[in-house]
Amino acid sequence: MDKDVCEEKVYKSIFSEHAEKVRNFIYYKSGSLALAENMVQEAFIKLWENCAKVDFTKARSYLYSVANNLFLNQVNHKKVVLKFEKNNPKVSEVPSPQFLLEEQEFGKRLEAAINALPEDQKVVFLMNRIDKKKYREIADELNLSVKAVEKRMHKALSELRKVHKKV
Amino acid sequence: MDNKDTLYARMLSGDLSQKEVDELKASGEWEEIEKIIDFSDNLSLPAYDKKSAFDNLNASLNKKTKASVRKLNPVWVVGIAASLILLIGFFLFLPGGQYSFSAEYATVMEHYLQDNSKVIINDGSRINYKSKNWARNRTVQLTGEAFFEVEKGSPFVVETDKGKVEVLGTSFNVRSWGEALAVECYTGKVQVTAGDQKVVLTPGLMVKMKDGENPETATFEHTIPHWQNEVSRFADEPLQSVLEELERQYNVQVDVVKTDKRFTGSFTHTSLETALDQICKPFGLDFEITPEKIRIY
Repeated sequence: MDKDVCEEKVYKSIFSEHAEKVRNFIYYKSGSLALAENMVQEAFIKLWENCAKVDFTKARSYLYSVANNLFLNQVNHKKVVLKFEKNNPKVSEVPSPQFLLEEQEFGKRLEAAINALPEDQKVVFLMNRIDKKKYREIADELNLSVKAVEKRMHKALSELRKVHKKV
Repeated sequence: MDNKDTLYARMLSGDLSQKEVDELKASGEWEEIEKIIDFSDNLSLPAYDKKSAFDNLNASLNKKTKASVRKLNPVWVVGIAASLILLIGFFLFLPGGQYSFSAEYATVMEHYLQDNSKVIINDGSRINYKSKNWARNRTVQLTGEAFFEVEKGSPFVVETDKGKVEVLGTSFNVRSWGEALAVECYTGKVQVTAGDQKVVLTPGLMVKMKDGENPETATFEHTIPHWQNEVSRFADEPLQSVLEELERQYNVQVDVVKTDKRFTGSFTHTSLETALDQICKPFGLDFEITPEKIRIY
């Protein structure tokens, strides 16, 4: 038996599983957390209002397309600059200051390069790297084939690889 | 199988053959990509407060339920109607998995098809396509003008009311306004059919056909369509269709006595006054801009 989205428990479980990832998705496109969080709320209101019409298995891709449409309707489509937080990578030895400095430099250049990616590549890249999603999931959410997602990912990585050459 | 265009993506997902792994390692690419993967693995975003977000959501859902008992306030109705119209401006879902996308006057819209092929739709133009069986049947109906970047795959067909354009994987511009169909090929190979005329284009070649007859081919050197550089260019076209293009670009109305003058040149998309200068000066014409319309005399 399929779960019923109109049931509060089911609805809440969808929220706790997907709300953050939908927020991140809009953040990648807009560069504004406040806007992204607003749109998550709007998208979930829409889901509730249409809960009888949306199949449980389709709820996820429904959320992404509603959020995306809401975003497209924002008239100001400005250049976005994303800010990330960095988790400390685990290291076994204490690295030399020289090494640390170089790593820091590399990180900065990589972030700038991520920001400079075309939106379609940036979104796919970050959905995989930050949200740890598989290509299949991204494909479902963006209504693309897995191959198309892989192509975008490959293009993104080829572009980012240039960071190595600008030393 | 040629899967070079997904190589790094498959490296990340651990989906490579041994041969591909060896090649990447030998060329040094492996190490470079690995470092990007490791670095980006540690990126994250500020935490999301799920609990308070859900409470907020709940609160606004409750408010909505209560509000729906009251009469809809007229300002709201206008708001809803306006937002509906806005949505329709972007796309329409039609029965049978059909999509319709259009760019409103004075806007350009970028759209990705399922296979990652890109379409940039010039203003006032529209595309329609069916998403069902897209991989096998890549057919787009175009009204107006659009630029295509097509991924490799089955034949990609653009149908206009003046003829059709068929390609494999390439980028090209189709312009189907006024009396002529004009196609510019940027990469790959393009076949244009109108009536019983067939022309094959290679990069840097363009063709103009009037009423499916007398194809005129010419060479060009620009690497993206002029309209994407915010100019429109014309070679010996009726002044009438130049002014129609101006109307679309600036979303204005132009009043002019019927004329059979022909125009060669360009106008900018960034300043209406300069654009009018560019069009009118060569003919010794004057213009007047009023809030309602533009008069040329």
